[in-house]
Amino acid sequence: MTVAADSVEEDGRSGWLPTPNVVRAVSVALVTMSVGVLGRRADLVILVLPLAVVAAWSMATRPRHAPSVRTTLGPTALPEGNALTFTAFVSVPAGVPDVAIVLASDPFFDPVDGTWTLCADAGPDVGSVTLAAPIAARRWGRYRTGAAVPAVTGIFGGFRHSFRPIGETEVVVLPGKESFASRTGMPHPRGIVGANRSPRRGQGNDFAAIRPYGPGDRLARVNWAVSTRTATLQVSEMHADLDTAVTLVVDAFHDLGSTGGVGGAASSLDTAVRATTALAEHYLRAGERVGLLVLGASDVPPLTARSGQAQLRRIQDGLARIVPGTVRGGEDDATGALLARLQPGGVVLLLTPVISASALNRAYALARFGHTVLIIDTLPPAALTAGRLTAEDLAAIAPFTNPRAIPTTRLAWRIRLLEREGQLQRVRASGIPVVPWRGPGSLDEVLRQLQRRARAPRVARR
Amino acid sequence: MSIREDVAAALTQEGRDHLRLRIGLVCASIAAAIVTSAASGAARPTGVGVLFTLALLAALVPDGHIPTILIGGHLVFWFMTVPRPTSAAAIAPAVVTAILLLAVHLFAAAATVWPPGGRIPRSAARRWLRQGGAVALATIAVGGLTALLVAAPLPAGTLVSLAAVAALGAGAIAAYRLIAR
Repeated sequence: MTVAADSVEEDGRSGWLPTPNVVRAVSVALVTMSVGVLGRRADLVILVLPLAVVAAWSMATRPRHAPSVRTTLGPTALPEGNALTFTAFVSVPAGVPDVAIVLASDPFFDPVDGTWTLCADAGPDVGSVTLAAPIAARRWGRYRTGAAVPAVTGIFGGFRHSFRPIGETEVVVLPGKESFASRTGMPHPRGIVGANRSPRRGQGNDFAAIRPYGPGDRLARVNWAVSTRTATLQVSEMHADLDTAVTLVVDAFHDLGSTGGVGGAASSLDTAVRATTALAEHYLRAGERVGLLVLGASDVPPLTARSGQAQLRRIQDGLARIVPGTVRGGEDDATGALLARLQPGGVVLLLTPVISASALNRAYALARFGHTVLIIDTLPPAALTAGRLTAEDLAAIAPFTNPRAIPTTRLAWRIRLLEREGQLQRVRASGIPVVPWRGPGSLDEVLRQLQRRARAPRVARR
Repeated sequence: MSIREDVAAALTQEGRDHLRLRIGLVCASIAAAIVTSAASGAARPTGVGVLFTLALLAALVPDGHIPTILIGGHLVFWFMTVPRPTSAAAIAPAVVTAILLLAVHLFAAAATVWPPGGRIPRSAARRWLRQGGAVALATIAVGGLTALLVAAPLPAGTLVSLAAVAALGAGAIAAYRLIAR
């Protein structure tokens, strides 16, 4: 829990200012009573008598001491969809019954109670009030939130003490994961130990063959049934189990489509980030080493492939840092420098809306250098039908300022989709599979095909 | 978004409790204008209309000077249209209008104390009602006393008038010093 505190302690009454309410009551009462007395109009005096009483009551109970406020906001790192809590501890002197705090609203945070305003009744004798507001984080990312303005008011709203605005706190909202499962192993296991069947034989679990016993064979591997039948000692030979380096490459040059947070519309980057989290969790649980490269975002350091659950947290943290299109320099330079870090022989899963030509070109290059490359298409399905896009959806894809530009933008997007289809066909023709992200089982068929292709003999460049 | 959606969104953002405060302000103001009109003995559609417009403006912006102008407008309307009370019964409309003006003031004050969108704690609403009720009871008591005085008028005296003016002056100075401190 991170504390974002802003405490104001003041002596005396300097912090208490009269509100327009008390000024109104006093001025109206005095002027009208004067007119009533001078004009011998008892009815006028009666008309403003309540205002005079309210003014006198407010001034008689004017608070004498300054209040103080302390706030906390936490947790400062949470998965999207979960809630953090803003808590304010307000110490009020006697005669300060009304406490209110207004939180700054944020498009990707939702107050669970439906309001950004917290109100409390301190009562006449209570010395402190605690106000709490659970706030749900709706979208992954890094945010500065929790700014608030507290105010405490005296009786009848006569005097008010305003605090300095409470500053913001940085909150990291980790991406949630879309459900993903795969029953298919990886095509090019290159590690030491793992869950994938190796091309070579060794001490694994997957049956390969039965052969005569030889020096060095473990007795546990002796197949007694076959040995009895053949009268010679036979052992079961297994495939070695190896792990794979899976590198998840996220194309963050563009973020296409409108985003509505958890449960709402998903942009291309939302899909990519959540799919990356799901893939990372799945493959890390399966014992693979998983790394992360983000193209097009400047503040995300590359993560080399490692195993273990701590790597999942590193990947989520890296994904939460993504701000699309913030890369410095040209797209090609940034992409080339990052992809040069890839370990040879690994599996590269490129999550992209297939809009950036740079990412596609690098996918070609990686495939040529012997990586197993799989492109996962993250463009929202709604964006594929240019004719049916609403103006809001179209603006989320290609921002425009003038509504007259809608037909032109729609036409341009249609042409871009045609170009994209051509690019995808060329990619497929070059042997790089492209699959749209559809959650569980999205990659099974294509990984199975890649496994078969990996086992088949092929011509290698020397 | 259409105008209807804009208005619906604005009302939603204001919150139900704030909406009630503003509606209460307008209703109290209209009631005060009607009572004044009735006390004057004639229909005053122009005055009521002007006060209704002012009430709407005050409900839209309760934290500015418009509520002050609204209450001032009510007082001017009363002063211009209602004759000086000559019987005990003539004090009753003044007491009712005074309580309604108190309601206008308190609704406007509450709308500035509680930010829009928030839920006003029930205990706070009850406290405001209790304290406002106490002020209203005091007004009724003073109104009753005044009705008795009007029914049996005391002989006019310059000394009493001067004392009242001096008390008002002292009150004004004391209020100014308290506020300015």
